[in-house]
Amino acid sequence: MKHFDLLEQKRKHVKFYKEDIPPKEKIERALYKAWKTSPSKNNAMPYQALVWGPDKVKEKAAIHGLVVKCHADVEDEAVRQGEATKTQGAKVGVYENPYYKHVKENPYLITVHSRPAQPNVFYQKQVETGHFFDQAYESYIEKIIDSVAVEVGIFIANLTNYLLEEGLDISYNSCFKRTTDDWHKAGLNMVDYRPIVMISCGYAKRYRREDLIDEKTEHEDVKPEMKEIIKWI
Amino acid sequence: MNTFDLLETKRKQVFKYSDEIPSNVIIEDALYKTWKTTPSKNNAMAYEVVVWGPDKKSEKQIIYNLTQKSCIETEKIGLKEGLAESVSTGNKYFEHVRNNPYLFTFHQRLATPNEYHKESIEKKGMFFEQAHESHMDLIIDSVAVEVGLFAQILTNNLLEEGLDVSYNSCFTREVKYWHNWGLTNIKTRPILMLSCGYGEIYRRIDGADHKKNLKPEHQDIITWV
Repeated sequence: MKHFDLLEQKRKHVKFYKEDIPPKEKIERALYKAWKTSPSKNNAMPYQALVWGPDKVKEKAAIHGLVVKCHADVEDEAVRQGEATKTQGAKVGVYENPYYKHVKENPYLITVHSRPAQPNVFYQKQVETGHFFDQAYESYIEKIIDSVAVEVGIFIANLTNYLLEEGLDISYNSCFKRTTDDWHKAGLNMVDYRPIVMISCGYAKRYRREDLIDEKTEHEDVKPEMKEIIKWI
Repeated sequence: MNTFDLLETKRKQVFKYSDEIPSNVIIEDALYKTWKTTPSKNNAMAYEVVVWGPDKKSEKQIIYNLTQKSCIETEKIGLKEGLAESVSTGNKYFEHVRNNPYLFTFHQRLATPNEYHKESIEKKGMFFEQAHESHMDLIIDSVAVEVGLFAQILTNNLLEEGLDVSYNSCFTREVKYWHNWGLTNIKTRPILMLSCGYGEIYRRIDGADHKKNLKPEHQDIITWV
């Protein structure tokens, strides 16, 4: 199947996953392939993927709490700054965006975080001749976050392909608290560095798109026109 | 060919492109397929892709100069902070930024909510941060992840057409420097560069380098909690 057809036919944001748990081997195989084929500046890969399996129910609930908190904090701050007039009142157990539920209820959740990297043998020699290996320093994590986040996007694009090719569904999330302090306060002490993106996976029971079709709003939730995104100079 | 085989056999960093110019029909088709299949938070696509075609030689030279300058400036800062040992004279592997048939530069952009999200803003109180200039730096990580998604999907579509690609993320992020050097048509912060054409010489050709230049081990990157 061509790459375009795979994504057009198979990639759809999941609202609920089935309870069926995909074999761990499928996830491991997809992760191996994503690691093997994702390029990185200076071969640093200054990020790490944490895999939260089917038994990590409590931890996923805590991560979902950080998602709801982020949603609330962003909207509260926008009202304070005069950039919005009201909020949706997000709060755990009170109002939770239903399209974040995939973060809590899934067979597998993968959260991708920054990490300081070490130069390989080739780059150790380059450092001696003046190369600055900025990925090695904790003080540079925020300074190079855009570059690292691009690489994380490349990694999850590849991971998505491999999971889809295994017959699984996936969903992304980028609304969550970014500081490790927040994660530690939520009991997630195993997280050492700031998160960058989340991706859940499993077998879909219902897609978000089905809600839009039922609500007859599918034609309203469209992406910007191509001419707004692609500019030929 | 499946995705893994496509990337393993075809994706290689290009040192030098051949003079043959791929048809812009191929490029347009790959860009269309990529735009069509790349997801975005709230369907915002808070970035734009600027395409510098075969005739944009002087502009690419400027972008190349910005790249080399950024490389050296970063090393100077590293040296000043005691984190680097010396300063180099530049990097020969940036050549693909200057000499290529097509160069794509990705930049942040302010997005406008679609009808669905306009209603969510007005009736429900949703905050559409991608529309606010004051939030551009705050959401750069999230936008950059999406740029990475776009770049990888574009890569696959171009590789399937027999083209080669190379990435670059060493360049000055401040738009004022792009303007100072004459690229006044650039309005917002750059995030990534991707060149494309037919590869003539690949970086990997240097076998000695290749054996020492390995990525981190799988277990350094993937951790089962």
